[in-house]
Amino acid sequence: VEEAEDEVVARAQAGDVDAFALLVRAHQTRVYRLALRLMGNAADAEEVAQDAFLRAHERIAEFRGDARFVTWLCRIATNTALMRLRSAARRPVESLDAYLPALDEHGLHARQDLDLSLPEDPETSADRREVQAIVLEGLSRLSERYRVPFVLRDLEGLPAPEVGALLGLDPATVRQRVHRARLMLRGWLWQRLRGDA
Amino acid sequence: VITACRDALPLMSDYLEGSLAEPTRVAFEGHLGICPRCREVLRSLEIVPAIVSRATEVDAPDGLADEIVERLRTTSSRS
Repeated sequence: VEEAEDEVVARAQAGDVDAFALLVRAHQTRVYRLALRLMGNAADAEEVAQDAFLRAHERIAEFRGDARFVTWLCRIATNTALMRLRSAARRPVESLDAYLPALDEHGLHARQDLDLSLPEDPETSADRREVQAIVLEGLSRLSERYRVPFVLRDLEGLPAPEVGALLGLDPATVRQRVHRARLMLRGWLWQRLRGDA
Repeated sequence: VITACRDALPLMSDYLEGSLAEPTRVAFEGHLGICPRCREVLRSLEIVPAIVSRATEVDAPDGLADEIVERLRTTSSRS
């Protein structure tokens, strides 16, 4: 399969639009998912995915085959999303700070009577679409300051120094923001999936 | 042993990634031994990425590839 893709890439590099169309169809879901996670909503994700493929087409001559084509494509999609996030007028985002663990004046959990566990597999206790909607709403409400490092580190599996290089942050700051994102998302998911348990 | 949850919470991700220095790790585990709520938060933090990942494994919307290819052809025919 890899060899076949190399041939398709070579044809696309030679200007064959049909070959590039094959690459679009093969990787559209991967790129769209990445964009959805980074942008936190479907409308922006679709635009980022489109722009990323158009940019990849413009630059396909620069692809040297050092990495897999999909890795190169995802790098372009990430940069496209970051540029869009940086240039967009900042929408006021309702903070998820309220979903951090509540502590009392002694720094202990304020409610000792509540089980703070998340269900291991929420999709067994709630409808899959409902869980998707809850998760997407949580991601979209998470400020991009936390969402982007979380997505790149925890969902895309990039090492903290690589995430830092993409975002202009030192690795320690990346780790702090990922941790805070996990805590806020944990609280959000707990409230929505178990809060009334 | 860390007594306040306030001091244990910031250490949780580093603990999960195995990057706490030995004395801190021991003090943190001491706290886990006495605090069921922090054990629950720790276990939850560990599964948050998997829950978010699974829930966002969605397919590209219908028509996305067609729209991209159409834009490509329009751009290519102009140049």
